[in-house]
Amino acid sequence: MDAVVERELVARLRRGDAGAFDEIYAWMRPRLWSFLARMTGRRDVADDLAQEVWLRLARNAHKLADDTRLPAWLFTVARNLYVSQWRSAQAARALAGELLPPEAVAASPFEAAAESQTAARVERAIAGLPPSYREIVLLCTVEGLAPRDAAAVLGLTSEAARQRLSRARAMIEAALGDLARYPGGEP
Amino acid sequence: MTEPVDPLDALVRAALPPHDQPAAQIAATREAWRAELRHHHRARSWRYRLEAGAMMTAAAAQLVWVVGSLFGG
Repeated sequence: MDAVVERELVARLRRGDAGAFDEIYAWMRPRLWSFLARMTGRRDVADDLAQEVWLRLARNAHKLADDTRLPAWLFTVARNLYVSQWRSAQAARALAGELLPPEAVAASPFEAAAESQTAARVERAIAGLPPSYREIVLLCTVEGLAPRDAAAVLGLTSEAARQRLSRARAMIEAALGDLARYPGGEP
Repeated sequence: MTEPVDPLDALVRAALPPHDQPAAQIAATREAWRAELRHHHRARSWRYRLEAGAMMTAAAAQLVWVVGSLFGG
């Protein structure tokens, strides 16, 4: 979205303009929900977290700064909610102890819906990354956030974010094998 | 000049399109944030604050009256 248009949208959100909320909901909803679903591995949990993100926007829109980058703001809230949810789930798992089976291997909720085998393999490779690497790939590579914005979302310095993204890319390459080396098929 | 896109990045981006929620969930979430928006809009209005202030003053006056009735001479 153009920076001028985004500033206007922020100004309208600050005034509580319901039309502005409709616009940002249409624009960012699939992106936010996909991010949360790929992070949590579960559509139902992503539904709950995504709803909370939008409620927080409704509650806090009047406090947005003029130059707020809306995607970065929304992904920051979404990511913080995901981290809280993950910690709660880990604590519940620790309390339950041996009553629960070992945690299943991370799977993408979209792998079965992938349009090709290639897409399914990439979904699987991303789902297999540790969360801290998965989130930076989703933010930078998939969502196209600028490295500076992604670093702010994750609470990292730009250099730390760049290094983490570089390691994540190496892990994806290793997981995809030939597919990563020759995306269009072997030469 | 635009920066050339890395083939791996292009592959990942193409393979991971955004997905959307079922229509019922989209509508439910929209209704929830609209209700929140209405509530906050109302809560921040001067009329709401005056009404809330008047109610609290009335409650405090009633409390003083009750205490006065019980322990007063």
